[in-house]
Amino acid sequence: MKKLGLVVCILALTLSLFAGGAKEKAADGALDIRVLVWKYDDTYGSTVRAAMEKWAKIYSQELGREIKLKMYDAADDMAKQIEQATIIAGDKPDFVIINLAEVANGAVLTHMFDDAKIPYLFYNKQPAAETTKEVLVDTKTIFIGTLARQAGDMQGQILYDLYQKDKSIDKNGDGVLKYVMLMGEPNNDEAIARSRYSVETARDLGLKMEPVTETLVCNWDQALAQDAITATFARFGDEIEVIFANNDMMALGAVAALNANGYNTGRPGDPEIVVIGVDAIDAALESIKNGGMTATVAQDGDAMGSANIRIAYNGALGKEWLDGTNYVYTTEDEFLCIRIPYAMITEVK
Amino acid sequence: MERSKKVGEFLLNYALYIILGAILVTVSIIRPNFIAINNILNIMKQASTKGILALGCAGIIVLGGTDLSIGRMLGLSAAITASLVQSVTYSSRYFQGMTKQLPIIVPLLAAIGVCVVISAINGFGVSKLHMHAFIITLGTQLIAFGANCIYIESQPSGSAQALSTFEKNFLDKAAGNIMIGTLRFPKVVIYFAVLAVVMWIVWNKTKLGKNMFAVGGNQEAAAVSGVNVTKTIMYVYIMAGVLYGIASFLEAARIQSVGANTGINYELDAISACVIGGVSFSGGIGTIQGVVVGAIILQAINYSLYFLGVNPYLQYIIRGIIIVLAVAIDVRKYLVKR
Repeated sequence: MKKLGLVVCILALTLSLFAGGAKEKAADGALDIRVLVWKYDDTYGSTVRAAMEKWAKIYSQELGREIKLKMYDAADDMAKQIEQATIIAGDKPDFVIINLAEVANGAVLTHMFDDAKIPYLFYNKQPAAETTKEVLVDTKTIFIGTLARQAGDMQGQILYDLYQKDKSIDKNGDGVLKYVMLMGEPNNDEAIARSRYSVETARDLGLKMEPVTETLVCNWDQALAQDAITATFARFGDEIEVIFANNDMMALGAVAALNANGYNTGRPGDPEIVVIGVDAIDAALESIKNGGMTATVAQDGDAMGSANIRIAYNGALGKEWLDGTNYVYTTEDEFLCIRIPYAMITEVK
Repeated sequence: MERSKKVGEFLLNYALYIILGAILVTVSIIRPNFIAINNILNIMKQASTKGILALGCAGIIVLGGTDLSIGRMLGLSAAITASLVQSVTYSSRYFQGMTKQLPIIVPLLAAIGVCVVISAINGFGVSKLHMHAFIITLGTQLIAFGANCIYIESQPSGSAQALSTFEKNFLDKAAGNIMIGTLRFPKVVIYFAVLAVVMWIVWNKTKLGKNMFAVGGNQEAAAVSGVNVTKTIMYVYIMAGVLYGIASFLEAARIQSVGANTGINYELDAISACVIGGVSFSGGIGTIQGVVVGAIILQAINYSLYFLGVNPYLQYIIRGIIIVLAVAIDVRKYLVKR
């Protein structure tokens, strides 16, 4: 019995430590904004999260009204996200920023928040096409995203530019660029679009592209990509002229595998294979600087974080979404949407 | 009659080696350029870090437990290693105040320290609190993951990205090669071999090893015959922690950048290596040779499938079939003995 009491005491203590201030409602006029995040340990997502924290502080100053953020990690689990949304709906905050854990399931959240009369927006993960009308059009909410295929397009464009400048990346000089594709996940829209349009765009621009082997599915994971490229390189060696990776972590894995064979070391005279990633994470930029990776495509997490907070601010005050900003709605979507553009990075100083 | 029985026994006893040989021969027939020392070394290299994890985990499985915390523990320990070995010229390094490279022993001890603490907690839970290893390691897995995320997100640059850009000396010592003529022999393979020999001695030549098998076989009987069960369990977990720490240190160097996802599912590889290698989940049975071969078989399968360029979905199916087959054949050897 004594022991039980002790355990209860310790539990209560720990909980009170962590729960500090969860319930306090913004009586001081601050805007209470909640953020539903699909998965905390996602590299790009982390960049956006850090940016949102940063911009919340900046806009609090600039717009003269304090913005209080509280974030929730759904750990890639829609059931958990729904639980979190239920709690939020009961708390009645001023606004909710949603990063869906399951793109097909947005309606559950919109119904819940509509009933509780809490405004919201979606970012990063676009609600599935079949749910567009119910989740985005009818609710008149806004989606802040990127264009999935643009990252792939730019990878293809980068390769084309490289080839125009330096024909020697075609190692055997047969006029055909032989590539290996490192793919994120099999059923992920971004992964499918990047894998497809990187090659298609390069072809459309006039390059002859040919796969060396089957697509290597490596779940966005560096260690898996490293193992895959180690084996693939051992078999094909110099036949591989280009490695496309759906994200930078896999591109870095490819570089680590090539390094072990004396390739892409950055030392003058050592052989190189073109490696192009996506995300422009710090490690990738450093790798490009040191002669490891060749190029990457930047997904601008900072710009997305800034847009999320600025537009949420408008939403919380009941203003028009883009009031007082320079953002422009896309014209090709049937719902309200802005798209943060990607950028090509081939050089790092 | 006598002879065929002997052949049968031979096949059973060496089933693992025969399977490994069969995989290598099959791939070599399909792709003759597979028979190259380079490919063998690549497989050995990839098997090394996972193999060291398996060496640690094998003792815990012999005790009748399991360890789900390996992957996330490695992630946390590798992140701490990474922060200590970043190049001092890298502007977004974790420790901005670090202007001189630390001696390599510091990150190594830090890595081992982290894993020993977590593994000792696991051991305490099992031996003193009498929790099943599955439960306590499930708990510490979550704790390690949370701690890793906090650690990685507390970078002074405000970034929440993977830690990268390690100094050359660390990369060379932990993941470099020794040149034998024109051959690049990975150092990590040597570390793995040395640790395997050390563990073989602990398991077969020391009192701790004997006690470990006694406790794993029948805990009550061991206690009655004077074995200090609590102490034995604690030692085995702490020993596992040391091995995990070394593996984390080496893995950080191998993959060259450490993020929140580093280490995910490594426990499955380590546990599979043990099971393929004949360590019984019911406890009390297992050999170091088996674990080493198990780790190599697992990587040989992975490597071969990539080498052959097999369709990615088929790869999962083939991996599953080979693991089930290997274990099904291997357990027969113990069934026969009983």
